This record gives sequence, structure tokens and C-alpha cells, in this order.
Amino acid sequence: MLGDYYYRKLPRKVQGRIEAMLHDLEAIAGAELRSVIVHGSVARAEWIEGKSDIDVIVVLGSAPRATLTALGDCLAVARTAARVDAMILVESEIARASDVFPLFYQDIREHHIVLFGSDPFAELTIESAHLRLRIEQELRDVAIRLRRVVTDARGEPAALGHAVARQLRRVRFPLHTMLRMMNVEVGHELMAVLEKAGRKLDVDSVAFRRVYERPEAAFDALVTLLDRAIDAVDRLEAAPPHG
Amino acid sequence: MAEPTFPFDAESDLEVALVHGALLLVGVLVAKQLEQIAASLLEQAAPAAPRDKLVIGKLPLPADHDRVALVRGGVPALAELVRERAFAEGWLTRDDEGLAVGAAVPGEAALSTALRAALPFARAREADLERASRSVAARTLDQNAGTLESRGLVPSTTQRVAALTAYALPAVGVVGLGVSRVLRATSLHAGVALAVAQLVLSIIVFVAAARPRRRTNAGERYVLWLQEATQALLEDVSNGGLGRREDFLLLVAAHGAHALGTSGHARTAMRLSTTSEQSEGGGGTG
Repeated sequence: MLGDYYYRKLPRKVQGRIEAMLHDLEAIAGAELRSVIVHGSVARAEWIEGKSDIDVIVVLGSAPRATLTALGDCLAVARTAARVDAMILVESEIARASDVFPLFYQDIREHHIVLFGSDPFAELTIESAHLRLRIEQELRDVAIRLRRVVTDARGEPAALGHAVARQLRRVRFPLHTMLRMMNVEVGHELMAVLEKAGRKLDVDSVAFRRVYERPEAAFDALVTLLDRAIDAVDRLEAAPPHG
Repeated sequence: MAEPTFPFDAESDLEVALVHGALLLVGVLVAKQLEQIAASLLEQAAPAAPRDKLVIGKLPLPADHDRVALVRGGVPALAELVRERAFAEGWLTRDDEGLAVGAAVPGEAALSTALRAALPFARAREADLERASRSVAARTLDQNAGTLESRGLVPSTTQRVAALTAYALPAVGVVGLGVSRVLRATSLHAGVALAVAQLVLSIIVFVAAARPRRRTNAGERYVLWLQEATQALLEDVSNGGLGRREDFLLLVAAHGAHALGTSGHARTAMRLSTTSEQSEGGGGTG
């Protein structure tokens, strides 16, 4: 699998840390440990040494407080030693939560590496109606936060630039999924998504590349892009089921 | 047949050198063996790893940061941690006129209370802070010395003497042999230069080959492990990434403020002041 190849490309030292964490997880959780999965930048081949986190999902059969307490040390060491950012899920809740986490689960379903146990995301069904709602929610959330970004920056261009850049990163997955639902093929890289979305929705995406130099222009472009993207998502209502 | 030469009735300088080389080799091997036996006995005699505290595989809890600093660098390291913690807790601030000493803050560490009591009221100079923090750290070390030793976190005097003895005994043998040869050669007025050269060479070879492996105690091993286990966190924080106060103080305890860059105090203030910005950027789980 390509994901395994990307995992093997991690530095030996990092792999060693992850394997040590796996060993500890097995020792602590025993039969309750169902799966350990890597997703995010490692699985998408976007991982950058010294910068990116290693997103891990630990799937348990159940998560009583005693087990979670016992897992604390090994997860804390994995975090401080190798930037392993672990999320703990209970096996039975994964399928049931696909209606409220459709974007997140879809990304995991498409890009993940099973390090241990079974693959709870392999057979997961994600409804396009849930995807559409979640995309709209995420986009509207960014639109609302953007207003505070301006008031908090208080006219300081550098502060505005950093804040707008953060919001741009937040719209990557919603826009990527929206474009795919509109049958537009696009990669996962942030600027590629913004450019494709800009082209599709007739918004000048050049401003996004110069967010730190011209934050006001990037802000205006993002507001326009969000407005049009939300309209476009509304019109997707009648689209066929996805995935 | 050549006239036998001193010592060992060797018939040439080459044979003398070979015999001494063989003796030196035996000396080095004996030294290494003794050192290993002594180290093994010391390991067995050392106290068991401290339970629930500084154990390899576990990050220290905030309450144990003081002990980590003490084990890593003694009084200077703990004094540095005490100072950094005072800034991180917010009751000590730096401005254009020097240091401002504030009132107690909720949840402050016991050593912070001791430090504030040792500082002049309201305003202080950097020298006051340095002196007060060292005084607090020295008192803490005095109070904790027995605990640290009994937990195997610092080597006891007995352990230090035993380790040194294990190395020194064979060294005395090797050097003594060389010196006796020099003395005999001097008394016979023959081969003095060669004997001295062999003595010097023997000492160099012994020091290089039989040098005892650095024996670390439980505390040093823990700190070495901790430094390795916090590398990613250290990179993140020293590169300007945001972190929790506990993370910052953990790094100061394990690595020292110098590892975080030159502006430990300022970085603390920045880090705490930008916490709200960090939470604003989260993407959640879509």
C-alpha cells in the first residue's frame, strides 16, 4: 500500500518512537486495543520533519478511566519525543459518528495507514447529505471567525495576515470535498485547492499566495470565496450519494 | 649468542618491548575485568528505581521538575528553574527599571514562595534574583540530598570511591611495573631512555584502553532518557511554537533555559500571552 510506503519513509528514529508507543499500548490496553491508525500528513505524503505532527488514532474496545489514565504516560512521551498527536476512539462509536464527522472520517478513509489491528474505516459509509451539511457548517464557521479576525487585529497587518492564513488552512478540507462533489479533480495541497476553488467560483486566488504581504486583499478574497462556496454547497443538495 | 639484557633475560630491546607489551595487555584486561565486576556489584547494591516518580518511560509530573533539575545540574540548574518558574507564574516581571516582585499567585510552587520571601519588596535587581534563587536552590538541595541518594538519583560517596578504586588498582600495578623498570635501569646505567619511554607509553595506553566506561546512576540515566524523549517538544518550543507552561518548565528542568534560546524569560511571557490565539486556530474534527 502507498500509505505503508509513506510510513516507511519516516526517519528511523520517529518510526522507533511510534513502535515503542505501539508496544506500550498493547501492553497496557491488551485485548481492548483494536486498532492503531496513522492519518493526516504522513498518510497524505505531506509530512515535514521537524514541523508536522504525526496524527494517530487509537481505537479501543472501551475507554474506562483506568485505561485512559494508564495510557497517559506512553502517549505523553510519544507527543514530546516525536510529535505524535493521538486521538482515542471507541470502536463502536466510529460508524455511528460518521454523520457528524463526515469530512474528518472521509479524509481518514482515503488516507490512512493501519499500524495495528483491523481497519475500522474500510467499510465506513459516509452520506453525501452529511458531507454537504458539514462543509456548509465549516465554511460558515470560518466566515464568522473571519469577522473577529479583523476586529482582533486592530488594523495591524501582520496580525491580520497570520490570522487569515490560519483560516485559509481551515477551509482546505471543506473546499476540497466540495470540489470533488462537483466532480472537480484536485490534489490536497492548500494552494492547489484554493486555486481550483477560485477558478470554479470565479474568485481571484492570487491574493491567497500573498496573504502575509497583502492580508487585506487575501481577507476580501476569502470572504468572497466563502460566500460563493456556501451558495455552491447549497446547490449540491440534489447530488447523488457520495462514497 | 647475544648477552641477555635486563629484564627477563631478554636478548634484545625488541624482546623487552614485547614482554612489556604483553604485561601491559594483561594489566589493561585485568583493569577492565575489575571495573566490570565493580560496576556490576554497584548496580546490584544500588537502590531500586524510585516508584511512581522518575522512572524511564514516564515524563515527570510538574511536582518533580525540581528534582529533575537538581539531578541534571545541581544548584545552578534548580536556581534557573526557580527563576523561570517565577516569570512563568507571572508574579515576577521584568521592565525597563528592573524586576517587579508581585503578590503571591494562586497555585504557585512552594519554591516560588521561598524565592519571593528572599527578594527585596516590590523591586529587585538581577543580582538580587540570582543570589536569592541560588540560596533557595542550595537550601532545597540540602533538604533533598538524602532522598536523592537513597533513591539512587545521585551517586553515594561509597559508590564513587568503589568505582575509583576498581580503576586505580590495576593502574597502580601497570605504573608500578614501569617505574620499577626505570629504577632498575637507572641503577644499572643501561637502557634508561627506553625504560622511560616504555613507562610513558604504558601510561598512555592504559589510560586510553582501560578508561572506565562512564557509569551513570539512575538519576543521570533518567535525565539522559528525558532529554531524548523531549526532543520534539524542545524543537517546537525553541522554534517559537506555542506550548503550555508545564511543557516550558519541563524543558527548562531537563535541558536548561539555554537550550530554548537566549530569551527564556521573554519567551515565557510571550508564550503565556498568546494562549488564546492558539485556541482560536483549532480546526476541530469535521
